[in-house]
Formats: sequence, C-alpha cells, structure tokens
Amino acid sequence: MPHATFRQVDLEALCGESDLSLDRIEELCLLVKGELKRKGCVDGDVKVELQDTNRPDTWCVEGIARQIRQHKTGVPGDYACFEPPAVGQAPSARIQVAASVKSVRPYVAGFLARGYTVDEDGLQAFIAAQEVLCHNFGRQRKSVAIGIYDASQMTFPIHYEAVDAASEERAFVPLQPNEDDPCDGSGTPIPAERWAQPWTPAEILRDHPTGRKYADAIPDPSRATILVDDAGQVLSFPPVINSATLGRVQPGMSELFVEVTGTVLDQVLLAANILAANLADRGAQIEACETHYPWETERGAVLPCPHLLEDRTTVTVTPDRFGALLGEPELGSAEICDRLRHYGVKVASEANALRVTTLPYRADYLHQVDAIEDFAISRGYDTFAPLLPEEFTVGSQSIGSQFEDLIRDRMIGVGFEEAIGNILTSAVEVRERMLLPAEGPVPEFRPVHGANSVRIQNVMSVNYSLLRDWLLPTLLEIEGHSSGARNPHRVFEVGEVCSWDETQVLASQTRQHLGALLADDKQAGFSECQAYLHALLHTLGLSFGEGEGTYGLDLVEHPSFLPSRAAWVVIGAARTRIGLIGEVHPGVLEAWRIYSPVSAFEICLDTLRALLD
Amino acid sequence: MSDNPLSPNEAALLRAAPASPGFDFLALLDASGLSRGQAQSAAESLTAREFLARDETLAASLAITDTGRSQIEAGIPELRIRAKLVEGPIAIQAAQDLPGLGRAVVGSAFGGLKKGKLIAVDKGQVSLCEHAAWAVHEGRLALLQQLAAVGGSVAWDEIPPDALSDVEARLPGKRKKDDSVFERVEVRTRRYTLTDPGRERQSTLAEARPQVAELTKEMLKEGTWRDVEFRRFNLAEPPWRPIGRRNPYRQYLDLVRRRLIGLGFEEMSGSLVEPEFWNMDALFLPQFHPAREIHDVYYVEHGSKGGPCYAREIDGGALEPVALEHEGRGVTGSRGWNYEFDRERSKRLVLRSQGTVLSARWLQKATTPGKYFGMARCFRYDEVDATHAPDFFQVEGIVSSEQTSFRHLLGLLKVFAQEMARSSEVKFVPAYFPFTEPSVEVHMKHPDLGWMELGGAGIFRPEVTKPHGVDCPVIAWGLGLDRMAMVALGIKDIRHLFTNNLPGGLGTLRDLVAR
Repeated sequence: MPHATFRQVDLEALCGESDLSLDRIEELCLLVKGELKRKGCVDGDVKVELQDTNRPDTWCVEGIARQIRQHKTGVPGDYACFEPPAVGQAPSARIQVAASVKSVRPYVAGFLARGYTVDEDGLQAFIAAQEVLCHNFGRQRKSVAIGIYDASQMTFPIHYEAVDAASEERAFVPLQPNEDDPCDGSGTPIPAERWAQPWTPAEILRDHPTGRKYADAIPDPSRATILVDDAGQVLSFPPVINSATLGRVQPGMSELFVEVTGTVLDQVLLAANILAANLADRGAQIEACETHYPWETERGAVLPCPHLLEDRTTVTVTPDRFGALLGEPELGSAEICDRLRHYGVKVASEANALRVTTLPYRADYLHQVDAIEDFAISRGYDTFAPLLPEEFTVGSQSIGSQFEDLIRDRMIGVGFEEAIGNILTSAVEVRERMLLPAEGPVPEFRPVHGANSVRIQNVMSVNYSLLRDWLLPTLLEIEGHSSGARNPHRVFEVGEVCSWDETQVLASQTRQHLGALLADDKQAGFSECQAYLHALLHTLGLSFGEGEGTYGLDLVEHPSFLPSRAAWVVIGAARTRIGLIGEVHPGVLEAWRIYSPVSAFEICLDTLRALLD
Repeated sequence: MSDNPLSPNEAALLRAAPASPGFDFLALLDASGLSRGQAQSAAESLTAREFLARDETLAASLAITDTGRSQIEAGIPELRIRAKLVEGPIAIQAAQDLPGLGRAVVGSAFGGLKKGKLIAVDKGQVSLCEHAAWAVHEGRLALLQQLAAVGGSVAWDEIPPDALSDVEARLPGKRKKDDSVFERVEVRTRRYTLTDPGRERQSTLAEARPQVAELTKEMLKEGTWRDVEFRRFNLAEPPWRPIGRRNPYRQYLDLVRRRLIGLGFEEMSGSLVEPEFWNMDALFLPQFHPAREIHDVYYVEHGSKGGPCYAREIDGGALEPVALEHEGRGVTGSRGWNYEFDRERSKRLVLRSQGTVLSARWLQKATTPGKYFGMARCFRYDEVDATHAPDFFQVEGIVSSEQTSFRHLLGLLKVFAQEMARSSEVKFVPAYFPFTEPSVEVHMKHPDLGWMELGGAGIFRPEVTKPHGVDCPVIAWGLGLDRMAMVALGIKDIRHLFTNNLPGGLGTLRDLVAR
C-alpha cells in the first residue's frame, strides 16, 4: 500500500492548522482512509499509509491536507486550473507528439507552474508524490512516469518523439544517480568525467544505475522516447531519467514545467491533474499546456492539461438512495449536500436528483455508491447507529466439514494427535523424499496422488513451489522434527490436498484427505497401523471382508512403502480404492531423518464419503 | 536382622502360623497361599531370623512290604500249609508245594511250624496239631490287611502289643529280604513354634496381607482380592501415554465456526485453485490493478506443457456480465474501469488469494435472506517469515437481505466483536476494498490486546452483485483472526500456528469461551 511521509509543519501549513497532536492527525487521516504509522518516524515527520488505491490524489501531503482543509471549511476548493477555459482562449504552451511514440509510450501531458518559489519542503513533497504515483499508480513507471523541469530555460513547443536508442542524435547528459561510486552494467565504477558527457539512451539503459533500474519499464529497449524542446535541448528520456541541465530542479526556482508520460491516457491525465492541484495548493499559478497528437486518441487529437475529465467526475443520485443504502430513510438533501461539500465535492440539485461532481484530481466516481460513501465518510462513520440484522436465517456446517469433524473425532478417539500442515510445499517434499519421480504424473496411485502436481509458475522460493497432493509428507516432516518426543508417536491431519487434472474445469482437484502416521521403536508395523484404520472404518459401518458394505486391502507396490508391506484400502464389491496403508520405506525415513519405524495410512475422504452415501 | 522387612513369602507364612507350639509348615500351605517349596524356605529363613523355633523329631512307623501285599491275596505261607492238612496227613512234598513262593520261603515257614510244634512229621507224612500259636499267624494276616487298608503304614506305637514280637521277628535284617512282609520306616519331622519376637512380628503383620502387583480377573471371580494387598505404585516417574487431541489452532477455528453457525451463517467451501475471474474479476478488481501484478498472486503452471494454465470455462455464465461491468457497459450503469477486459486472462488459474472468492461464487446460489461464511485456505505472494505463513486461513462471508444497509453492516460487525472476542467497544473507520462501497474497517478493544483491527467489510458494489442477478444489497465481511489466535494460543510466530513437531507444538489452548 502507498505511504506518504512528510514534515508535520508542512501539513499544518497546507491545511491552515497549527500544533496538531498526533492523535488529531490520526483522526483526520480517516478522511483519506489513511492510517498514521507512529513507528520509525524521525521527529517532526509524519508517516501515513493510504488504503484507497483508487484515490492517488490522497497519497501525498498536499492531498491529505486538502481533504482536511475541505472538511474544515466546507468549500470544495477554488482551482482556476480546473475551470473550463474561456471560449477561444487556447493554452500558450504546446507539446507536439510524433507518430513514432504511438507503439512505444503513446501519451504525454504537461503544464507550467509559475509564481511559486520552490522551497525544500515543497520540493521534497513533489518528489515524494512523483515517486508514489510512478511506483504504485504507474506500476514502477510502466504506465505512468513524471518529470519536472526548469521552465525558464526551455523553448516551447516541446516535442515528444521516439528514436533509435543507440543513435547519437538525442544523446544527452543525464542526472547523476543519487548514490556513492556508481558502477556501470559490468560493475566498473563510472569515472567522474563521464557525467559531463552525453549518453545515448542505449548507454543509459546499459550503464546508468537508474537506467538499469527502470529498463523493465520500457517495452522495447531499442526504441527510446525523448522529450526535447524546440531548441533541441533534451528534457528527458521518459520513463527512465531527466537531463542534468533542464531536469535538475532546485529550491529557489519559480518557473516549472511538469510532464507525465505513459501508456494509459486517463492515468496520464489524472496524474498531471493531481500534480497541478498540489502545486496550486502551494501557491503556483497553473498554466495549461496542450498536447497535439498526430492521431485521434480516445479523447481527441488535441488535449489540454490540466484536463477536466468531465465524463469521469460526475454521478447523479437521488437523495433516497443515500438513505436506503446507509439505513437512514429520513436523510434529507440539505444534509447530503452540506456534508458532500465538506468532502470537497461539488453538488448541484437537478430535478429530484443531486448532481455530485469531484474535482478532476479525482476520477474514482464509477457508480452512485461512490458518492454515497463520500457522504458517509464526511459525516463520520461514528454518526451511524449500528442496527442488528433482523431477518432469521438458519446456520449450518457444510456436509464436507461435518464429515471431516466426524473423522477427526474418531482419530482423536483412538489416540492420535491432530496436526495442520501447510499446503504450499515443494517437489522435494512430496515427491523426491517419498522416492516418487520428481517430475511427471503418477496416475497409477490415484486417488492418493493425481496425475501431476499443481505447480507454481512464478515461484518465489523453491520451498513453496507446488501444492501437496498427499498428506504423508506433512506428517513425516513433523515426525522428522519430533525425535525428542516420547514414543509412541501417533499423529494425523485432515486437510486439503490438490492435484493437477486436465479433465477438470479448473485443471485441478481439491480434495480432503486423512493422513495418519504411527512411529515407535516397537509396534509401529503394518498390523498395528491397520488396527487403527480398522477402528476408524469399522465405526463408519464397514466391516473387513469382501462385497458390499465392506472394506478390504489389496497389496500394492508403492515406492514410498516397503515392498510387500503396502496395500490399497478398497471399498465394496467393486473394490474401489480410497487410500493406501503401509510401512514407510526406510529410504523415505532416511530422507526425512527419521530413525524409528513408521507406518501410515492415507485415505481420500471425498471418495470415502461418496461411497458411504 | 529382625528389623529388615520380611519377604512376601516370609510374611505370608508368619501370618498363617498358629499360636500352638509344634506346628507343621505343611499344614499352612492353604492359609499362606505358598507352595510346599516356598513355605519350606520361608520357614527356614524365619527360623534363621529367630521368629520361629524348630523342633526336629524322628518318628517310626510300620509299613507293609510288597511281599506283604502279595500275601494278603495269596495267603501267608503258614496258613496255606495248614489249609492243606485240614483233611488229614499228607506227604511232606505235597505239604510244601505252594505255587508262587520260593523254596526258601516255604522251607522257612515249614521249619518254623515244625519247630513250634504246630505240625508234626512222622514217616514222611505231615499232620496238623492243635496249637495256640496259630493265632499269631492269623493275627499277622489281619495286621497286613489293616496296613493295606490305611495306606500301607501305621505308627510304630499303634502295633497291637500281642503282634509286636512277631512283627519284630519278621523285620528285614532278621529275615531274608524277600521273606519280609513288614518294614520299619523312620521319618524325621520338623515342628515349628513361634518365638516371642515371632509372635510380636506376627502381630504387626496382622493387618497386612499378601502383596500383589495387579488385580486379576481371577481375584475378582474368587473374591481373593479381599485377602491380598496391592503393591504400592512407583511414584518417582509418571508412565507415558500419548494423548489424542485436536490441534489447538484447528480448535480455535472450530470455535469460530461454531460461533458463526450460531449466528445463523451457512458454511461455504471451494477449490484451492481458481481462475482470475473468481479470484479478482468478479470482485471488480480491474485487470490492470497493481494488486494483480505477477508479484502478488501465485500463478498455476500448465501441468504438461508448462507456461500459464487456464480454466476450461467460467461456470455460471458470469463471464460476460462481469466483463461488461469492467468495461463500463454493464447493467449497473457503472462507468467501469475504462479498459478492454481480457476474457482469456480471466480464465488464467491462480492459487486462491482471498476468501472472498467463495463469497463471489456463492452470489449465484445465495438465497435472500441468507448468511454465508467460509474458512478458506489462501495463498499470498509473500516471503515466509514470522508474520507471513505460506498459506493461511481467511474467514469471510456475506449477508444478503432486502433490509441490508450500512447501519446493519455496522450492527453485524459489533456482534462479531462481541462473539469473537467478547469486546463491546468498537470503532468503525473508512476503508477501501475494490469490491465494496461503502467500505469499513472495524477496530475493537480486545480484552488483552487493546485496540486492534478485527476485520474489514462493506456492501458489495452493484458491479459485483448485479452480474449474478442479485439486486438486493449484500454485506461482505472478512475477519482477521490470526492475531487473536496467536494471543489466545500464546505464540509469537505465525508459522507456529501450523504443526511443526510433536507434542502439539503449541501450549495449552486458553479457552476463549471463558472470556
């Protein structure tokens, strides 16, 4: 989840408060679904975790302060930059897009901010907003990246083009990375004089630490998008790095150009609007900039920025919808309008409905319910009196878990201790240590094993790379850690297993198994183990024998068990297999570092239950 | 020496010893429950310990010999000779013809009769004489018969006085061995008498009885348990038996399940593997959402070909209506997410990453009013550490009702706080979930932990419910119970919720019911 860390004094200045206590800040942060993180903050800093992934405007100090300010004043905010332009008044600045970027990184938006002299807190806050937007909202700069420049040195219009990454044509001096003794792609320290020389985009991707870090954010390393001013000065190589000349913004500057590039148009426009609002909150006058595309985007070929996103900011809701969803049928529109305005939302009455509009730094109104929640948050969740659900319903346990409980009771009754193991495990555990082939299906051992195992494609750790398809490995792992516990050991698990099965809709089968393990220096053999299995099946109404209503054992050679000491557990006249029983193979025991004899059985409870029904 | 404890056999014999002097230990076998050998050795050791005094005597008895027994049937030689002479004198040879007897025996008997003048020999003819001594021979036969009748012997002093000289004359040593019908047998008998210390020791044993290790079926049948004493337990070390018991974490989850059923919730269940559709699309999470990046969810690999793996279809016909909501062309009138929904990606299989999947699927089957819950094992793409298990349980559910409003949602959460943690103080704060609006997080004052988050909830967005034809508001809720479980179970590492070793891994479960 995104975080915002900022100076407390900066927050206070932005929302017109002073000497806020941390408790008060914590309370106010509820307005932005933020949670104050008190741990690990430097004195005077405030760290807030923001939950609402659909409200990137709240991920920075300006956004948090804005919501608090609006809550206090009840005024949505007066942003000239978000007013529709007067007819015939076109923005003075322009970005010209070349057709070459369309297949690489097609969208760009920008604006100018003047009249605000950058100070240290403001610059830090801008960088923080830029980071969090690029990282969380822009998926590590893949879909959104942001640049800020010293506009006083630039000549408009700006050109946005894609070039051959290896070409010298747009080589430029990039910003130095913020690290000591940076090294290039081969690990060689980069000499100081290199930072004075131009780099091609390809060189940046290969040798510049920042270039290497963000190389994944561009789809094709041979094509680089470049922003360049009309005088031919390179602004940046988005989404990777700014130039060291125009792209180095420092406190004291007061003419700024901000641009956003990306692959999703509305995200680009929304990010630009958020940054415009942030700088406006700090006192800057925002001057719009027009982007001219050589093709029709979904919003046209000429797009101003800031952009009003009019089709994404308004919902129309009748007041009774508020009352019905919130459980206050008597709720009136006056209260609704008042509280929505205190949440920074514009409301207008329209026939019998309310037209609710956010400012365009928000584009999260998808449905009427979104406006209704804004109202509820603005009024405070604590103002809604809880009501007990009134309708009667009958509670019940699922058939499957009832059967599980029955089996668990029986196993506990014969003296077994219950275990729960993890389902996500490794081929080493469920296959190799069990002397089963590491790869490939073992269908001859259905229903205990399936065909193949369910394996993870994006493995994080080989220890957690597939789902167990039987429980015995879990029990053996426990036994392997239990050499110090007194004998005999009797342990069982009733739990889920899963195996790959292409014939199923979900290409897999999740089943409930029972696994039971017996370990002892003496009396841990087949017959002892069978006695427990018999106790269990007998109480389920199955006698040992042949024919209907019976269970039996059929010898099987299974690699995990001693030869001639393993059997299928079968049921009924058809001798349907429901599981396995046997003395565990010494090779398996060695693999688990177990030094006393072990016998075990495992049965598929789903199969058993179906046969009992 | 006499202070040392008695062995069980010594005690048994001492206990059975009578006060009267000169008893025979063989008479105590029944009373002591000892065998002859055990009783004898116990008597000897008690004598050595001076609890008993021993008196050894020799007793003589008269016993019949095998020769004697054979003469009971056939008659003794002297009387057989007399029987031949009753009719009148016969020749010597005829008189001595006694089948079954040796010549020497017959000769000795004949000589004795002739010498005692019980018969007379004249010119080769033997005749019978009247003589009182015939009674001696008749008396001997009677004695032999008597001996055979009483088991072969009588005490020496019970021999009839008038037979004594005949008996003594016929003992081996006086006669040839095969002519002896009697023998004198001498038996050494040991008689015991309690000494004063013995009597004293016996009195201390009066209450004590034979010691046994365990009660047997026989003792119960025969009632002999009354006569025995059970050996004392070994108190030094408890014997070991493993116990069968529920896993404490499972027990905690069972408790939560019971509470939810008690509140009228019906249980849901589902697959560990789900298509992105149910895991995310159906919950109105846009396909470009950062939480859907490759590093947030586990993708399933195709089992035979490798690479991504797709569901064959999206069941229930929900794909298209949901896709249209994402694209802003659906029935709710929602603006949607303003992108082109990828229907193929929707089928891509992932490991269930949130329990809300079950709720999404259940929207198709839910009745109104209806309350549902699921305890779903979920997988999130995280490093495994003390606060992240490779998989974990999520408890989530829905409430579908025509009456549902935000205030009912708050009421339900209050009930949860009360039921799950006996907390009556709750705080509701705004939250964000892509699938609910309004969304809320509930914090409660836990008796042990202070203020903490209990869970998140909200009212499903119409974009989530309407594609399944559900028009009424549906509350969706999820509870974060792991932290409470960890406190309840007294553990600090979330991985310890799962079993790593025996016994149980966890300490004793503190009972939440008591709170």
